[in-house]
Amino acid sequence: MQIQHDVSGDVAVLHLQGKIMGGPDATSLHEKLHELIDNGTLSVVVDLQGVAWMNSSGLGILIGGLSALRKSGGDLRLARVTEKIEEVLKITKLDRVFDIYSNTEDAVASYKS
Amino acid sequence: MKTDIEKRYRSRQDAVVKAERLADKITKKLQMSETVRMDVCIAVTEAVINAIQHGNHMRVDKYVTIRFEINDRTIRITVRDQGEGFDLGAVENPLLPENLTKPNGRGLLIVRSLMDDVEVSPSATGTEVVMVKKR
Repeated sequence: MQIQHDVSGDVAVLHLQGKIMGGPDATSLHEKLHELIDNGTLSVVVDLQGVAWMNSSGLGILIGGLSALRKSGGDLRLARVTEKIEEVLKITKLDRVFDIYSNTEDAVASYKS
Repeated sequence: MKTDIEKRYRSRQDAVVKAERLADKITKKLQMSETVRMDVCIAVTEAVINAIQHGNHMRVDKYVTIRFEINDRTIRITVRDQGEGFDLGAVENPLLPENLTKPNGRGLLIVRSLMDDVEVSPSATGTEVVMVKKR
């Protein structure tokens, strides 16, 4: 899996590409999120347009990042969620836990409102 | 016509990637729809993760066996570990409010939701998960 890291003001935007299934891909996302948290980033958007699907390992990493950020007063928001990931989020009721946006611009802007 | 494919992997993290690649290759060859292929691949990774982590406790001397049985109507996948089994009744419901933000515990729920028929059989010599998907 590839991770492209952009910054928009105080918001870190991670564009993910590939599958997140619990191998080295999952480790790199986990490390990236914790690197951001350790550096004091509070506002994160994860852009999932390039991720066809993820399993519970991927969800667990996103939830871990979300919990750590919310504990520090921040948040992790999702953008451009693909169809299969949306289905998996609904199955696990995580669609009620994450704030989900149809594009990255709206997700970034949501931190300013 | 019936085709059987069986592979065995050591309980390492790369078993997940190998099993997913195999499931992807088989479902592509069967010309299953994109959405059905994703369902099968996700379910396979969930079952293999459970087998190597919770079943075999990441012990590299223990194996996970995956078997694909394909006929004209269905693909039937069996994932078996060499662990000591577990109490199915003790598995927490990941949909309860107090469990919603836990980082794990969703694998079986996802498997049951994406596949047409799922049977989990824990025993003292290992757990077997049988998952069936209509083609």
